[in-house]
Amino acid sequence: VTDHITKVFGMAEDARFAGRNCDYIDIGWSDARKHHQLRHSASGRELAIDLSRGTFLAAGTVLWDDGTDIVVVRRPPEDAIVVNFQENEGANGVRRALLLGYALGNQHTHLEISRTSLRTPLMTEPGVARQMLASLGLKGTVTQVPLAEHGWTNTSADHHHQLSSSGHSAAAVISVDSSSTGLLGLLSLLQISDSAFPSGRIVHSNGVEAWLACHETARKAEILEMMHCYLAESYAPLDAAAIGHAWRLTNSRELLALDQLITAYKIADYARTASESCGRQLARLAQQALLTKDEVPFMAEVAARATSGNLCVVEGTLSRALGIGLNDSVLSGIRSAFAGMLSVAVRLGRVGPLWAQEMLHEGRPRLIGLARLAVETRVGDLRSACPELEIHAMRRQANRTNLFAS
Amino acid sequence: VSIAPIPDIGALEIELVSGSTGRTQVQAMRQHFPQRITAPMYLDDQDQGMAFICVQNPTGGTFPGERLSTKVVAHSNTQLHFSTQSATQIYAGEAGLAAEHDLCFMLDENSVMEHFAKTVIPHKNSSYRQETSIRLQGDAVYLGSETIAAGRIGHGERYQYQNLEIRTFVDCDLVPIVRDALVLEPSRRSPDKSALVAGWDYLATFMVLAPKRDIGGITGAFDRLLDARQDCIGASTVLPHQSGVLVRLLADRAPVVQSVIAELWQIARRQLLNRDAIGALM
Repeated sequence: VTDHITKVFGMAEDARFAGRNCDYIDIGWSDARKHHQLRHSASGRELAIDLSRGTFLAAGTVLWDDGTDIVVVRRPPEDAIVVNFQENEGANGVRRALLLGYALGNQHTHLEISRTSLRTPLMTEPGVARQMLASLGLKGTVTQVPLAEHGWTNTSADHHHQLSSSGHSAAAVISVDSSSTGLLGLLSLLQISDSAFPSGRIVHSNGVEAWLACHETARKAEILEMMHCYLAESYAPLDAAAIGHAWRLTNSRELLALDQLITAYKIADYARTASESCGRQLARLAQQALLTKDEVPFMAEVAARATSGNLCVVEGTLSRALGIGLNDSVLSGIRSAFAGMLSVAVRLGRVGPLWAQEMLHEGRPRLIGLARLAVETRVGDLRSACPELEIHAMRRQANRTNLFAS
Repeated sequence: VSIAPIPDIGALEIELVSGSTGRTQVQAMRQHFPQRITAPMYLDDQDQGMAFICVQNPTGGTFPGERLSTKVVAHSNTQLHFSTQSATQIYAGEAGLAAEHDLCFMLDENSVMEHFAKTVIPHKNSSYRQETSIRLQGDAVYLGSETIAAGRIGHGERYQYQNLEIRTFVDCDLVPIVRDALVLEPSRRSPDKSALVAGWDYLATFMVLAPKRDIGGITGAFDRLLDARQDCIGASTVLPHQSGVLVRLLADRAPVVQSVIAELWQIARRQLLNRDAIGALM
């Protein structure tokens, strides 16, 4: 028998639940915001949870009450980094804690800050986390503890997680604004986004040429719909999201692993060709003209063909090195993809240049929305699929009589 | 308070070994309702060692909140043809929960697996998530197809489901080589739109995985077949690391999809296994 839960009954400490038998249901921090889920309590009771969007299942939340028994949310211990403030006192402790905050902010990880400690979910191998703590000279542990029992501490980089109503309201609000781009970074962004920057993108259409050839009668509205679909279903949830992930990583080994993963997602030959040839070209240019020697070891690996060098991974890595903020890097990638597709349609004579500029201007809110989603996309949620566009591009690729390389 | 184990809901696990006569045999098996199998059959006249196993699900599909899991461990030198008895209906329910199915195929050195699941039919308001993990070792070969219908087309239902998420992960010798993730959410963006499914009723994927074998002639043969068809559109591409070939296909009728997949199967079988497909099975 499944019990359907459509409302929260209250908190276990409420006086009205005194004397009830407690049955527990373990819900980890990553599932605490899922409003639809099927769960089993410790006693085997099956609960189909169907709450309103935005509900946070804090530890102690009562999900079922039949007058005798209550089912209460319990947060199980999970892998985490824990830093106790008392163990890191003095000026050095403050400096090191700030550096840790900066590093965690760049990773957009969740933080739980109380008066005595910081807890954050383990997002890397335990050894990597211990190495990070050691390199910062911080005393901390990689261990298992319950996380976000009453929500996460709010930061400016994560507006979706509210301060809890109990216990943590006095916690410090950390400002980790990775969206900011300084003036030097802004100039770098303008430089690498400029159509005159020879990254080789101009020779690739990413399937648009093939699609247009197969839709000879398609008018502006349908062409625009195809482009929006590609951006929303393919570019943003894969390439743009990967720009963000690459931006957050500073370790070459992790960047190589991300690059390998992105190659696996580039199922079609034409998509891999475009991504890898442009990525390698950008890495070569960056090494020769933009970065000091060995400033970013990953670029050397790409230039030496030791890894695929997908454009999105190179873009994210380079953007960070040039002082371009995370959000701006992702938004710039999406904008470049859209502008590139419009440019293909213009060069093939299917739309006018003025209309293309108009669409680029009108599309700004859409691009910003996609960038927000891309920044929040987790590695496990990466995706890319536009079947009809892919089919036309793969057929065209076999014919080899194209203006564009992909 | 002790934590009760999560019940086995629809778990099917099969472990295969190659017997002394070269026949693929079931060494171990665990099955829970609604997934059931009977004893393997040996239907391939050109190779009597290949086991044919058909999963029979009396419910005809999956229900909201249901979590099916299917795991096949194929040890070295085994050969398996794995199929389903009928189309998989994705039923809708008031709770709005997703039906889920996790599949895991572990293929050891020199094993062969053919996996031909019949069409997935998502009903109005249904929600479905499927994750298939294919782990190859060495010279293993995998041939498989997946077909998704727009809905219960005969009832006039097209793209009225909530969402459909089909993910396929392929690793070879522990290295990720293919990640295919298809997410369709009609309420967010109609699959009928250009670039997605563009008005077609069936989307099919045919995958050949043979990382250690010569796949050179397969793409050309696939493309010639697909170019000649007027009743569908499709194309093939070589997968990352030359690990295999993938075909995407859009069609308006189920028999068209079936006949194209049968022909693709025939081409792949001849090229990689040096034997013909079995027409009666498609």
